[in-house]
Amino acid sequence: MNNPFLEQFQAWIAQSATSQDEGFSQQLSQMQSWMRQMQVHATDVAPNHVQKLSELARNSSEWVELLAQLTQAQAKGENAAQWADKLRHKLHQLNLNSLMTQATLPHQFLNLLITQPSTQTLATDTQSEMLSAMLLQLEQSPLKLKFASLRALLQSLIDWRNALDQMQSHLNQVSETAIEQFTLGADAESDKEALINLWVSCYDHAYRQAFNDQPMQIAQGALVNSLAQVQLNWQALVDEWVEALGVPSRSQMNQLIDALDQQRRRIRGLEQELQAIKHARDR
Amino acid sequence: MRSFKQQMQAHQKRLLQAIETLAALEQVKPSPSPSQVIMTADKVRLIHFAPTCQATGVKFKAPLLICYALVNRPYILDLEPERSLIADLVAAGHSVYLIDWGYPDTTDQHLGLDDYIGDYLRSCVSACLEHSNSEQLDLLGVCQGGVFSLCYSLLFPQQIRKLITLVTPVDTSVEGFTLAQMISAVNIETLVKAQGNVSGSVLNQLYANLKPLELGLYKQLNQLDNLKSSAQARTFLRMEHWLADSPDLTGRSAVEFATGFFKHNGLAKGTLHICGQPMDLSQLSLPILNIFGSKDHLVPPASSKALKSLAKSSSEYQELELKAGHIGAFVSQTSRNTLVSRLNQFRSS
Repeated sequence: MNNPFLEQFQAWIAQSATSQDEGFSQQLSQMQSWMRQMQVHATDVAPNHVQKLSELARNSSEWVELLAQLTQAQAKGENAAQWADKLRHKLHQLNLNSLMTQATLPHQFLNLLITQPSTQTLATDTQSEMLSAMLLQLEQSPLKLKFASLRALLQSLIDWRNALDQMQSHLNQVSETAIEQFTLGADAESDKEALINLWVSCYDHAYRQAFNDQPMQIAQGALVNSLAQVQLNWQALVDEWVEALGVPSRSQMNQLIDALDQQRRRIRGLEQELQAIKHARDR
Repeated sequence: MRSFKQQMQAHQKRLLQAIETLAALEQVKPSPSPSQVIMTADKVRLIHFAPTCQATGVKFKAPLLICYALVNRPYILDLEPERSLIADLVAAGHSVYLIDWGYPDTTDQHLGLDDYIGDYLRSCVSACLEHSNSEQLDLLGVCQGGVFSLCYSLLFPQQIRKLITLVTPVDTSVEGFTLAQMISAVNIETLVKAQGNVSGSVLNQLYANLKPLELGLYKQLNQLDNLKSSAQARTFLRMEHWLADSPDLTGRSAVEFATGFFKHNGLAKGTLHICGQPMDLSQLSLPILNIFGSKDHLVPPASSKALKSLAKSSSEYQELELKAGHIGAFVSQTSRNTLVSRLNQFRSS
């Protein structure tokens, strides 16, 4: 390979393989730095697969972070119960991250609802109180009717936040069930691969089992429905603004699409009649 | 357990191997078999794959029309020469036609099941019969395409000689049908009203959520093992490309399928109506080969197997259980060999 950055990375790996155990924490830190650099140099290293290489580097970085935490825990002499507690906390965070990355909120709201870019924490209670306070003020305002769309949007954001909390609560319960099952089935002598496979199996099984029950189904439904309602209410508000500016609104575009659909059906019908006539003629 | 340092070294070795593979690899795209587009209707295309078997002339009396699902793209059946059900079929002498539903956009949001089954599928069947100079064809439906094929066979039985359903859901009330459970409380009408069409990325998230760890974090961790060599990497990246290449589902078809088929279990109960007619599986009299995967997490085998008791008038009902998952049933080498062998048998009479 001719890439200088890649050659440097390979040389560093070869060197770190022969280094003393005492420098291991420093190696982990250096590996993180290499992975950050890998993402910067991805275009040079693998020009045809930049995205995939960046993804590998990010995944590796997370894996190294986990290893660093385990190393620290071992150095502190933490026991299995403490490790399980850390795992529990990590899983709850992963659940939240997963829910947030799947939320197709209008981007204007992401900054309002997320306190850190990496979605480490959801909206704080302070922000939720702020939303509720805004809603109350608008409802008590003499211009209450004028603010109908905005009120509906705020309410749907609050509903979505509540649905998110509910879903996260269910997912956290899934994590707890999975940890219990894993603890029962894990053997300290097992190979790392076997333990990972067991964990994946326990979690996915617990997850699917949860969906056999109505509460999880209802929570899932509430999450999707409340998010759809946020999108609808946001569109209604945007429609009001663009109409005031003289720009075609989404509802007006929908009317055009309806008209186009009717025309297309008419054309398809005519095409099929023509085809039938041709067939009859050819026979 | 190995020490953390040993695990780190093992990880670094795997990572470096993967990076070197990617660094040397060309851009990877699907590598399809030779074909010809014989019909287009709006965004729908009908593609013909001519048989390559020269040995004994025409082996099969009728052409084979494959009806794939609206979700995901049909080229998974012809991903690359070493993993192509279609290539295997044409090599065995089948004249294969494949429906490509295309990529719906905003202007397609009003297309519903009547349009897909009663219009586009019907046009494809007519075009296939005309192109092959045949009176009837054999229809192979994959997953949701199997549901469409069952419905079409009820609407126009005179055009279908034999029916094959592959990993096809029939009864959505069976235990463990997680996909059905996940959408049971979802108000699809509101979702469609908000989004127009249901986006491909939302559908991908839904499928990945069926096995959140195995198809999420675990898959991410194990990617390195799929990038050890160029050949392995090409297959993996083609598969990844296909997984990400998910078309939107038109709003109306999403509402009708989610409600009529899934929530109301319409096909099993006979309450699903297509083109104004009730879909009563007990009226199906043609020969049926029902193929499913024992490890299918997307469509539980029990859901597919329900066809046996429902299609009680079928003149010849057969089943084939493959030891595979939903996609593996027609992608893995072992499954394809069994599948093609059985199709040869079923279609040759």
